[in-house]
Amino acid sequence: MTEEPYRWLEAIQNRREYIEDQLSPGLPVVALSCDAGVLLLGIKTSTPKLFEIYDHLALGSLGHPADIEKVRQTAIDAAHIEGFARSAQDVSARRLVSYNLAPALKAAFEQIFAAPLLFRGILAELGATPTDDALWRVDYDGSFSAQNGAELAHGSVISGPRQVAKDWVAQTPKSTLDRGELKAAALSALRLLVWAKLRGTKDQGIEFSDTPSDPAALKEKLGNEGLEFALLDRSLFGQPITYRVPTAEELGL
Amino acid sequence: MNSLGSRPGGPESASGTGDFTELLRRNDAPALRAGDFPRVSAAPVETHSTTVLSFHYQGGVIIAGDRRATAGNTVMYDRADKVIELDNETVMAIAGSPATAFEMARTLQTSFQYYRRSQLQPLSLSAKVRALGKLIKDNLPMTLQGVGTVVPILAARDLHNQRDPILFFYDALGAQFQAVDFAVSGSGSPAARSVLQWINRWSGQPTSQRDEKQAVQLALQLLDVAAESDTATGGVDRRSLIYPQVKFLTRDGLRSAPVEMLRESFAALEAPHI
Repeated sequence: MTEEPYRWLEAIQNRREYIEDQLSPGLPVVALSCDAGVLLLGIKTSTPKLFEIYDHLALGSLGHPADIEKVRQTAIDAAHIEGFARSAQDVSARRLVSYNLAPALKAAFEQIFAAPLLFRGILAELGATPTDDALWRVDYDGSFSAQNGAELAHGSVISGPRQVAKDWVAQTPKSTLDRGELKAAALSALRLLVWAKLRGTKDQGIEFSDTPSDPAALKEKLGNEGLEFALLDRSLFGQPITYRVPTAEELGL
Repeated sequence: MNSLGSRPGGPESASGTGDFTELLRRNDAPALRAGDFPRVSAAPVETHSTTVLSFHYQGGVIIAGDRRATAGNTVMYDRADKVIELDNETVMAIAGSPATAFEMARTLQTSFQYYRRSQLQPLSLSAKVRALGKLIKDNLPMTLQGVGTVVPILAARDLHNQRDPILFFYDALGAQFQAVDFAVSGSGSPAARSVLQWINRWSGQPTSQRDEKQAVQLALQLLDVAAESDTATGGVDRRSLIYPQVKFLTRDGLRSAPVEMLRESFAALEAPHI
């Protein structure tokens, strides 16, 4: 069947539709660079979605837990081999995405007789200063996009429905998120999380400015589901572990 | 990889075990391993060091080491760091060949983090102790040729079961022994061992009854005693602010003694003789 080009295209299209359909209930994950570091925020589920990858790298993800695990492990393996062979400073999100995750995901996606990987993620990299941070969105088909420099002010989001992230990227004029203090950044991240959740489910017309600016009201919008959060802590930059789970009090959530 | 890994672009994974040295082997990455070393007909002049020592005191465990590295009769370096933090709960003090010892430390540092991140739980204290023993055992071909020998001390604490720090010492073949009172290693260590044995048996104030300040002073005195009889052990160079390395592993965590603290301790020790 796949010797015929149009059949192959059809198979790939079917595969994409199947994966998108499977991913669509996936809950959003937000990453936001701020003075204190890079904050990742998601909705708490029975399996964790935020992970430490390397000294200065963290992954936010959605999809099938087994597939998330495979991608997470690939990233950890590649980062540690590189960090050991060269140095921790030589491990970068750009190289990890471009030369490891993306080729592996693309190869997996195009093996149409193998089970597809149900995965979508954000790889966050902590820099010495906020402008040195980077956020990489990576998809099941190996496509990826980077956010760095001034673009970081907009935050990054992934969600089960692919359109949500597209809408956020295409937003004009772009909402600039308050990301000075950690609590302010956490509130901004929570607003973006609520926006993404509602945009992908009940209220597809919701604008970011429509989201409440009070943590309690925001949590209510999430149906009082628990939150999962992680911080690449800038005060620990250069040390072997910058990833930590801050307390809800620290974040004001 | 589990499936991603077997596909192009990703490394061959060792995720099932969380074993970093296995990951290196599967990916042909450079690693310390048995059988890779060439046989040498004439041993090169090897860089050596050391006196490292560790003992229990009131607050936990103190680990100290001098800074000198030598090759034959030549002092190669006087700022060698021989007390190495492997992670927040584990410290290794090295004696022997720095070339091998530093690589062992790097391997262990990465191994512990790799296991914790990939398995989402920290490596147990027992596994850490054994991991170092395995590296020493893997270094056996070099040890038997008389080059690259490493005989370290390990101080560690287990966050879950055993919060009080524990001390281990090793032999050159990788056997590990838990030390009750103290552990020493290196060419200058016999002198320090004798003093420590006398203190614990006869002084009336064993090291475990000494507070932090007294422990630091004792560690500095022991290194000074070792340096008197061993040319491979460095003393104190106050003009250049080169002091021994001293670290504390306690129930509250791991920290280093700042140079100022060492300078004051040394000054206090000297005062009665002025």
